[in-house]
Amino acid sequence: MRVLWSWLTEWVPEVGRGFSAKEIAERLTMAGVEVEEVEEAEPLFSGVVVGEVVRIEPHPCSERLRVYEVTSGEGKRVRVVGEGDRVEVGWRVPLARVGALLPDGTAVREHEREGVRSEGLLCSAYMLGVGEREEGVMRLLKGEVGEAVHRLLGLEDWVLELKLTPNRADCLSVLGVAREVAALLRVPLVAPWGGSGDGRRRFSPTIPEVPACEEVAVGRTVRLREPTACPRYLGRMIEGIAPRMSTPAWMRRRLQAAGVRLVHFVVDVTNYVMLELGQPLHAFDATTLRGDLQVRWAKTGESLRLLTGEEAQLEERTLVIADEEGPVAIAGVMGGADSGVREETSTVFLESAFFAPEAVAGRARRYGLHSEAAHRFERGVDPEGCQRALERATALIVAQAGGRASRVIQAEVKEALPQRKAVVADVKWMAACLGTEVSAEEGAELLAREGFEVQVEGEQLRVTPPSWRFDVTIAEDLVEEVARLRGYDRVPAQLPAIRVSLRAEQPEERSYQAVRSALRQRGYHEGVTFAFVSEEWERVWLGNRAPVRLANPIAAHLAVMRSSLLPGLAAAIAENARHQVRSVRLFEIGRVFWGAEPITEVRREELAAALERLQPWRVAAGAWGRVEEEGWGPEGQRTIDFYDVKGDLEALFTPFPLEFTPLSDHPFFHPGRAAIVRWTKGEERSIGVIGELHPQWARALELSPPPIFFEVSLRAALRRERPLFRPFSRQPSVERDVAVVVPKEVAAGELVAEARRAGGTLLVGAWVFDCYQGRGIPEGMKSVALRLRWQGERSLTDEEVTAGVDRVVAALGESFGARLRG
Amino acid sequence: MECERWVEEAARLFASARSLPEIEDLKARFLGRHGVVTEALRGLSELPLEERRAQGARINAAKREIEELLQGARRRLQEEALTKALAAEVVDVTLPGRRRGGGAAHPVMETIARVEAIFRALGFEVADGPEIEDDWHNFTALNTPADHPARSMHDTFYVADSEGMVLRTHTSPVQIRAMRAHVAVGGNETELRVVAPGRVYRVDSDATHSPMFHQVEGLWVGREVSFAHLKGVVTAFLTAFFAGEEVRVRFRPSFFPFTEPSAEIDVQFTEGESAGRWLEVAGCGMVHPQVLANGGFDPARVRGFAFGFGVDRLAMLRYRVSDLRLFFENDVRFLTQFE
Repeated sequence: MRVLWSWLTEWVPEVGRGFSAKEIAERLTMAGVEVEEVEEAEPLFSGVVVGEVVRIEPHPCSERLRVYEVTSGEGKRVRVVGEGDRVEVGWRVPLARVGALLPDGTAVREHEREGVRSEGLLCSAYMLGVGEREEGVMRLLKGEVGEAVHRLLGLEDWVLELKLTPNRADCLSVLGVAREVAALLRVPLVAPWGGSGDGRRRFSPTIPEVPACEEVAVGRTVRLREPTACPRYLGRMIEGIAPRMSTPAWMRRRLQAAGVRLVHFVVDVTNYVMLELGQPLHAFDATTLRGDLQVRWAKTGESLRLLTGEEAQLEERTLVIADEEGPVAIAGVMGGADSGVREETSTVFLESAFFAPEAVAGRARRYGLHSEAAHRFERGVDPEGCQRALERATALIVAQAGGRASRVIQAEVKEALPQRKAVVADVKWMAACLGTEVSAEEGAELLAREGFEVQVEGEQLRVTPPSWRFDVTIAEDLVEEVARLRGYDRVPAQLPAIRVSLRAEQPEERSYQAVRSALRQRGYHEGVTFAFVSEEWERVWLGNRAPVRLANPIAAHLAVMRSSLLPGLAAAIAENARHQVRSVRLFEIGRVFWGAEPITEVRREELAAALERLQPWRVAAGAWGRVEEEGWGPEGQRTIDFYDVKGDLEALFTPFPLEFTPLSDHPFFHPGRAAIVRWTKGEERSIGVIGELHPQWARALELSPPPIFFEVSLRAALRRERPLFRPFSRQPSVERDVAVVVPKEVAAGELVAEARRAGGTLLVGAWVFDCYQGRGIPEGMKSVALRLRWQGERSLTDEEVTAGVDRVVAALGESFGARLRG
Repeated sequence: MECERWVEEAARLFASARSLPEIEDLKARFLGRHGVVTEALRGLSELPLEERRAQGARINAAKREIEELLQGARRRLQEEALTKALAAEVVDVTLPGRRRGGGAAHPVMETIARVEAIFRALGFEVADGPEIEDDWHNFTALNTPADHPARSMHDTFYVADSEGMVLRTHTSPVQIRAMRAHVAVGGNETELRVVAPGRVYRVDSDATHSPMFHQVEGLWVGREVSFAHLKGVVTAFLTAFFAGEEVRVRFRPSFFPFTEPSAEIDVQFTEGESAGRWLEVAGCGMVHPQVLANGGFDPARVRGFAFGFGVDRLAMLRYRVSDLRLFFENDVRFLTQFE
């Protein structure tokens, strides 16, 4: 909400005299009524500066006029033609230069009067809106030449932009904010219609009634069919309003500062009163209403054309004002187009009602509307303010546009009005909650200032909130109220005694921080990509037929939840590749989403298991480009390939060995260059995938050569084992190399596994040290060189080792048709 | 005397030798099979015994001296050879080391790690909860029933075809889950301290809002917990988090449906671009009794406080990052600054 400072201080004049807008903004903010910004308001007039008259000459063609030469600062001289006046050389006067804007809306232009050009106007106090009548050019007794006159006259104003929390609907009005200011600074609240009342009325000023005109008939009754939703409804007729009235400048100014669109005099007044007093009003064109009114729930099938022009199909739990022909307004939200005031309207039926928050909450949103009235009603409007607002609006309309008001008709179900129940709080308990002393006297005094009725009963406070406070219902609310009014800064900051119990890290698990650190050490940067992705990625790139879909995505390409981190990483790598880098390595630890079922498990382990099933954590990485970003030797020039990334993955799991089995049907990967990652430890068999991006997607992303990715379960990557000592042989080991020729399709991993099996216990190591196809090897075959390491409890003899090697060679021959390379 | 001449000559020759083979040649001249010293020793047998003894002693002394000279000369030449070899093997130590440049930590993830570490030191455990959350945990259990105006503070992502499932709009639902998990095991009177960092989602996207961002939730439930303790813990945390910078903390009354009293936490730095301005970093408050009850605690016996920090905001302040969107662009030019 935006409030003009001068409007606010009209209600708390003492504050206007003693404090700046910024100071009050700070006080309000620290009391929980946040003022987000204080900005200078559009001035009443602009372009008017202090000028000094340096020469006065008669007008060549007119006796009536004079030609004034005026300095306006920075050595500039301006010639102005004006009426003959008592102005003398040496006077300082308000000079409206070309481009100036005066309060009545005049824009000053260069003009000609009786053949002499005039470059501005000399202003009277009346023209500037600060004098009661026209008394000729104003003489300024202070101020520097060139200074802005609105500042000189103290006419600058500010707009306070309030950011109100939903609990403080009572501050959605000038009255409400003024009330808060009055309470914080202990100054009186003064209603602009005079009189500041006493006792509880201090906070809720009454207003004199506008005398009713007996000839004006109300002509209708109002029935409250749903008293819980609408327990109070006031209305009156006003006849004979001058049509096409223009809204007075002072009211326009306040409305515009508040950001309210000017509509029609009567509507402007209702908006003005809503801003001033917080009570939304509605004006019907009375000639359009048929018969009596009732407030009821909408019936199925009913519809209403709204002021916005849209036709709303009304839902059942929508409260409406209806006449004999049907709904004419959605109660507390918006009126209908057909019953609204229009240009020629001269008779209105003015409504001032209390609609319960529950009856209005969510309705505006349901119909896609934004309504200031609904914003207030759903948060709570003071039910005791209906009459005040109705009288205020009537008085303003009648004063400006004539017209005669009827008596007020009032429909009311008293029992259904919100009851303010007394809240009881023990001051000792309050002190314990806050962690600082609170006395009954202090608490009572603070609360009374805010308009609460307080009875002190020993250590107990019995507190009844005022009718405009919907947010104080439990003792904790009083704790906040007292703390807030005293200032949160008066509560000490205190570290509690911390009871610690030593919980050692589980030896079976490391922190995910260790995983982050391990991948960083392998040269991967950490990324964070969006959890919502394009449906195409899910369906086409990942083959996920039923991704979790969002009902209201922020963009069409972010419409489903990811089931894998891979496409996001691929896109991020592609984006980076466009920036002239030679290599990119990225990883991400994040959730993926396999299902949207509710998770009802309570116990920690069960909750963790459910999360693992539906929304598991994954760790994924991708690498593209040169092995080294900027190397100077030959090694770094090589392109990252499958085995680089496989090595990184294996390093992440060290000391646990991983198994890789070919994966040819994952749409994200090259069918011949991908693998399922398996792990024999623990219950999980397959823990993820690794592979080269399918050339199709690589082309789409303009990544050449294709990047390599892996994605594995984070849970698996966290698994650790406490290392247990195993005795090792101190005997020297013997290495023997064998090179075998096998068909190309034979997997090296299987060769090694077979060699290990055949080698027996003396074979302590076997690995591939060379792999070759080409010259010297028959088509369709490859040569694989294995290094076999032998070791025993004692020194091995040459014969033992040779026998072992022979066993391996024989086994390889039998299983894979391998023969020794000649 | 002949022996002295040999020694002098050997010293002169060895000193002028330029290489090890040359030395070995020279050695032969004196100590070789036909070397002068060897010959002289051999000739001793022809001398009379008296003379033989005296002459033998002289020759042997000369031999020892020559051997020493020889050793010295060898050492000298070996050292020279080494020096030469070393000079030839010089590498350019300014060429970059052969390595993969280390990967960088994401500033937001690093911030989460830092927050976790500080709270672990205060005895907090780290809790986790779903990101696709049900309406009850995300809203209702936190005192925000359907149509509550506070719901409009959160622009919620809804899951299609899954009634009541949303992307969590804050980390606060983890409070409820953590309380219920705790009560199920520890009963409803034992103390609970948890933090829960994670991703949260709101339908909002502009220069200062990302539809996905990060929060960290904190919760402390105990018998004697107070608002002063909330201020103490949060202030201690912020001081530790921004260690090395002068930071002021203030608590400002606010409203959240799930806390009462509620506060916003603002920080102010004395240096840097934002010096002197109050910057909002968190919301906090004493846990609303209804929320404690929804978590399974008896609000008549325990109190609690909770806070929720904007992690991205903390990261922006700590690393002086000016634009939130940089966190989600994964641009290596940005990330490498955090190696």
